[in-house]
Amino acid sequence: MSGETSSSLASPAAVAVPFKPPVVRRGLSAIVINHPTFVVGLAILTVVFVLALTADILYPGDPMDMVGPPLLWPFQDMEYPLGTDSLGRDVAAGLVYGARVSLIIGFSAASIGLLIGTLVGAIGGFFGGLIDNALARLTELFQTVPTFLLVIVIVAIGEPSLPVMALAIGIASWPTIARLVRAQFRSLRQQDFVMAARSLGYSNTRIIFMEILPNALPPVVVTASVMVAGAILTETGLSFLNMGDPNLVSWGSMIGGGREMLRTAWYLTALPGIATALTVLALNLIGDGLNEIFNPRMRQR
Amino acid sequence: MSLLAVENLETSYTSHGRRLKAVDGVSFTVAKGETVGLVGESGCGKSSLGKTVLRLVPSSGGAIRLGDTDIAPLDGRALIPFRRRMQMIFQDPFASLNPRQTVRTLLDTPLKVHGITDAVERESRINTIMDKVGLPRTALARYPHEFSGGQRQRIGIARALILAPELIVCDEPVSALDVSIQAQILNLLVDLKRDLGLSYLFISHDMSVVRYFTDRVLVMYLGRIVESGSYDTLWSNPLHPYTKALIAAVPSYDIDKKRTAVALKGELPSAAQIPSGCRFRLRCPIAQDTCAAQEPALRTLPNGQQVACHFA
Repeated sequence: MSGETSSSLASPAAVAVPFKPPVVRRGLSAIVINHPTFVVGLAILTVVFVLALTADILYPGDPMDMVGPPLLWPFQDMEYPLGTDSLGRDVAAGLVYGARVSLIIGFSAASIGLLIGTLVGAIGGFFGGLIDNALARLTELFQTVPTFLLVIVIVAIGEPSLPVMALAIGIASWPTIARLVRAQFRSLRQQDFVMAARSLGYSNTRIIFMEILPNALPPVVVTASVMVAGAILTETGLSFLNMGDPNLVSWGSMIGGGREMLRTAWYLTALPGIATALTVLALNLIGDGLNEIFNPRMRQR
Repeated sequence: MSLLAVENLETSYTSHGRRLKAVDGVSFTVAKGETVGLVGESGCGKSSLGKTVLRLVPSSGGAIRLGDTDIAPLDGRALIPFRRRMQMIFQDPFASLNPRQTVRTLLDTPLKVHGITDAVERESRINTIMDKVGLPRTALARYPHEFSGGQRQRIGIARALILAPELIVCDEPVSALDVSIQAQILNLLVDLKRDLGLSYLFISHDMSVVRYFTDRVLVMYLGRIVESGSYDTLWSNPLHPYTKALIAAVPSYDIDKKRTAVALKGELPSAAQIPSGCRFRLRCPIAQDTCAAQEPALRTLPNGQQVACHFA
């Protein structure tokens, strides 16, 4: 070994080997290679999305209908690959339609929370002073109330339908975003580029939305993906407690329905439980991945 | 008729419940086409003064006359027509450009905001400015992080000039740049001044940079002007001990030349704890008892030089 090394050092051919610059990957391939968990998360979420979108094609008809004999175990009858519940409803159909409910709730609730939170945080952080004080107190007020209780109260006052649940979860979850956006605005408004925008005579609205907000977004997007996961969990919890929309199959209501047969037919709770866990995991992986991708200290120029 | 006349200007900040005056009764003028240097240590209030003049920081007293109008009491919309007449070039070319906007957006938005709706005219103005600051047109589609410090400062200058202002406040425009780039940017500023008839308020902590192109120099210490005069008089005959110390701090190529002034002792006191009498007395090599008792007024000498020292 040592002889080999010394000979290669001495040989002029070894010196002449051209220097290969390290391969710097950019764009999509860099994301795939540097952030594998992000890609896994994205893949899982894509599958859930595709299933939710194609639910009508995969399982035409109402997933609430009795289609076969009750309490078939998974793989017992390949017509119902994931089995049937105590009323003979197809579990696979329920999961696919439940994915639809979970995603709709998750994304619409997060959007509502994002909208309220961004507005409150941006206005408070940008203007500061009395406005900021008032908005910060309001944020704290909402934050001290337990999210789930607040959602239950709002749904109890309204009706257990998808829009009401999305609104309720959105209203209960905006304080996180508001605090984040406010902190971002407070640090960004001191920056020279904002000073420059003011000296150029830009309006406050333009400075907030065109100058500061784009720079404040990366951590907000990260938090938003986790918020979607939180909203899905909250919806599952609500449906489990029978407070969800009774006309829709959701993963929560499936878990709730299978609860009584936990010892004899545990697959009835396990399957929607796994579906929920996988989706939430996927969203968290995406959030972590986005955090790494946006983090300037980890970003390669 | 001066372009800018600042009278008795004050700027105060509230920090931990205490009010401190960063700018404390400053008066000066900038004539059309004139370059006025503003020198002093870090923390003496130079940047606060510059930002107050541009109404980026609220003033707490005094007047800022731009032409015939005192812009100090103006607010919001009333201020917008005056904004385009004065602009700022920032110290840090990395922090002063929005990282998420292309150069085109950076230059186009001010024109849109100031009501130039004709896209062709905006485009031609942008191209003119890009040529003036020595940037290629291909740079328009790129983002600030794709440029070097010197090029970014050129973008900053282009943005400051796009609205065709009369007065530019340069807040240490070269101190964040490599020495090799500094001269290029300073030359560019000189050329622009000549071509466009600009007036500069040039803020710097470095006498040797100020020497490069200012007509008149204001020396600031702890929120006040302590000496002012044409650059030549100040360089050859500094009267205030602080000015002497600043000039002595400039490195000299002449090895045989003996340093006449001693280096300043201590640090700049906090603006929250201003010494009684003369503000400079705690660090002054020639301070006497009078200095603690009485604050020296800014006197105007027959040659136009102004100084605030009992013994000058």
